[in-house]
Amino acid sequence: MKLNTEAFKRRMQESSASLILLGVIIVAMVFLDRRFFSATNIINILRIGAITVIAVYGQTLVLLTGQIDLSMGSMASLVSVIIGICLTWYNLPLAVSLIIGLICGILLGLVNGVLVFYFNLPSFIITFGMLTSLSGLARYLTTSTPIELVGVCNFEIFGRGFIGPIPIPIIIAVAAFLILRMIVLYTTYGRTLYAIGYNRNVARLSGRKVVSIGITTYAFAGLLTAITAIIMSSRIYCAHPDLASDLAFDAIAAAAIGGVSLQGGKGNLLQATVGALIVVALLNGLTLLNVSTYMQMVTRGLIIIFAVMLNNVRTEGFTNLTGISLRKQKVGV
Amino acid sequence: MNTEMGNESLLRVEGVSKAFPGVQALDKVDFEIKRGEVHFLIGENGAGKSTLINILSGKFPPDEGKIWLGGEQVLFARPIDAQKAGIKTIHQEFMLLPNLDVAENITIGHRPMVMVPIVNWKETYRIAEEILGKLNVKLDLKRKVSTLLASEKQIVDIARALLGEAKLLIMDEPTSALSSGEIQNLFKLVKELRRQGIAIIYISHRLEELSEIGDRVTVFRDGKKVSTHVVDKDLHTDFLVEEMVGTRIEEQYPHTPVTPKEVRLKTEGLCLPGTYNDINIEARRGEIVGITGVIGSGMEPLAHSLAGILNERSGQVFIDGNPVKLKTPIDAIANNIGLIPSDRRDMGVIVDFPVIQNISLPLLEMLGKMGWINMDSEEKVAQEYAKKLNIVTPNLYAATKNLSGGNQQKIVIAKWLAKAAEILVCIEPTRGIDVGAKTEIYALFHQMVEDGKTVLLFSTDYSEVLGMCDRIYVIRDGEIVEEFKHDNVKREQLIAAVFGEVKKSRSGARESEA
Repeated sequence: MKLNTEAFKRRMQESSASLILLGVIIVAMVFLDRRFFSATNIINILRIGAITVIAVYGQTLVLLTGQIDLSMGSMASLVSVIIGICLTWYNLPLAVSLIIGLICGILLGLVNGVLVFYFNLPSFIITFGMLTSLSGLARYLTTSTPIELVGVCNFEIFGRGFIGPIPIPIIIAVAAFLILRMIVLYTTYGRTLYAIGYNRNVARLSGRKVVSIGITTYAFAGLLTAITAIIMSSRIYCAHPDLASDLAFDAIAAAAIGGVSLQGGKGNLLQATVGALIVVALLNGLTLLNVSTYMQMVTRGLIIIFAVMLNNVRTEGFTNLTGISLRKQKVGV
Repeated sequence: MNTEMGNESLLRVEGVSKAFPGVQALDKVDFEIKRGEVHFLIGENGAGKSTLINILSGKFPPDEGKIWLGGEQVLFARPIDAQKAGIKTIHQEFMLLPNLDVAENITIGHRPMVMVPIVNWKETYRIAEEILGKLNVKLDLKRKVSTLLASEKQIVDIARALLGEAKLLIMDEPTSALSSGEIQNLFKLVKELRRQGIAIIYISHRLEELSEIGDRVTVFRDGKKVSTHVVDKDLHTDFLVEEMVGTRIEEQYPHTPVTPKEVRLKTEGLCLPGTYNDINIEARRGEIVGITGVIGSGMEPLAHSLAGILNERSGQVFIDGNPVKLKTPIDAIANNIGLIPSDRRDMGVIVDFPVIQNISLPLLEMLGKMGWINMDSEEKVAQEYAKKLNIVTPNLYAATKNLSGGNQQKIVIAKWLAKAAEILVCIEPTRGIDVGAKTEIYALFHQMVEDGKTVLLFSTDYSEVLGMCDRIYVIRDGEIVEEFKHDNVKREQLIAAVFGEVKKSRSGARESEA
């Protein structure tokens, strides 16, 4: 079909810059440290990468609407803690605990969504507030002590298990990619997502339900965050109130470096995936090179700054970096 | 009026041009203003008035041409250069700090200091008092600006502009935010400034103000200066309007009246306080109804209310005899109303979307089940309407921003036709569109009403309204003042209705002054 090949070509073109960047990082790492390209390390990168990838999908959906979700990290911690409490304090079955965890993720996402889209509040501040509150809540519930889940109901399979030779996190990530791709490309919801991001006005005037689609998007992000939380807690055998404080930042950096626009409207899941792999490969490489965790923090921050610069160059051209944006100048007639 | 004072030239502009992407905003304009005269600039939107004052106030430089100020050639690179040269601009929105008091606002930028950073408050209030005294107005210097009336804020803004040296004051639609009593105060102030030898460039859409305070008037059209006239009793408003609007090349209006059928849309007492009042109009199936007026007459807000954008109005809208709620665009669309907005790029199409996705945006639900989009049906529908409306694009997947304005407008129309809208609310549908596409769009409107649809044409293009509409409502100051039938209205009648009884207020002003 003509449509699909053309659209696919366009998506590949859009991702080409980040694909090249990923290639450069991999080649550089191989030269710097031979262990980087070993089978175990690649599997390792992909397994850890799967976690970031799932989080990035959630972030990407939100970014496509032109908003942002900074609350992911502590939302994941809270979901992790809630699942831990269900499993150990109340001895609920695994399936029930997981469902409770996922529902919590969705509800917290809904709170974000309602505040941002229904009450029309700035998402940056709202989700920043949620970041702090949810983190506090997770610590309060556990008095800041991790809940050990070693051997509880086979919980560890989500992070450490395999189906055949493939680690389960990777399978979950691939499934998430395929399902979300269908939703984004072929549903009214997905189309509206892009429309809102590009021009909320036109979307509204064309009868699109901007508010409910926006709220749904935050709920999606919450669900994906909860899935991330499950994999992460499972991997470290415990429910941790400080599970992944940087999750949102890694996700934003990954999305931006993959080419998802922070202004909304532009970006796709393939770009998000590539971006996540870039971030994970880079951090993994730094670990192999014995760079201290503090310097890794510095790198993380620099990645986000670099990614946003790259993002602006992509959308506005280099002029924007010098403070003179030609595109934004209005015609004064 | 124009007597002893104003014979010395203050500012002269020679052959000034300015182009923006896709439009020649000013085309070799010559212009002169004398000391102590009130010089009106008139013209339709986009005629070049704003571009000229932006150049004079240093907002951007001209592409070519020279500017002389008092015999000296000047070039303003930044607004501050123009201000230093004594050219001050009073904008429509007052540039004041609401939480500071009158004196503090007046002295901003010229605050007297004992020594940095200690403000000499005594001097501050003395200066402010002196300048207000010069203007012959009384204002409490210690009042917070946020508690002032609009006209008082304007006085503060003017006083501030006069502090330091002011030779030329540019006032951009100064009366647009004022009540009629306040307008009289402003006129008094303008006359006082003129008496003191300050030149004033005065931009207004209200021609009746011209005869009250104007000395000379310059007419702009399509980026060119048409003429400059001395204001006296021989200068007729209809003549100026004719110059503003121009006698255009006779365009093709392919509309022959269709027999209108039953009433489709009817409004009863629509009211949006401060914007429009008691609007009772109706539109039938198979009818093109024009609603026309000047900018700011309430025409566009009325159209937006019918499209569900402005929802704080009172009154009732009936469609096919049933009362309907039009609280959101979704309501309007559910009632088969489609909006063709004046701001195409911000409200009409998503410029980054491919053509096909813009056409299908309002009708996604019709293209598949359970929220899925059937790509084949989408392509079929888009193909059909792209062909029907002759949308010129390399293919359906090209980005909309690469298409011409006319083709983008056809996309807006296409999406509502594809959505099977029955009532089209069009605001300035042919603005900024080339003649060929214009004719095509007119032909589409004709086709639509022949198919039994209803077109509401909100437009300030009077030739278009005269040529295309079966019936015309004229809206002035938020009220419907006149209704014309297509076959018994002359252009002069329509224009007189749009601009109001100008001649009357003109002679009135003269008498009171004599």
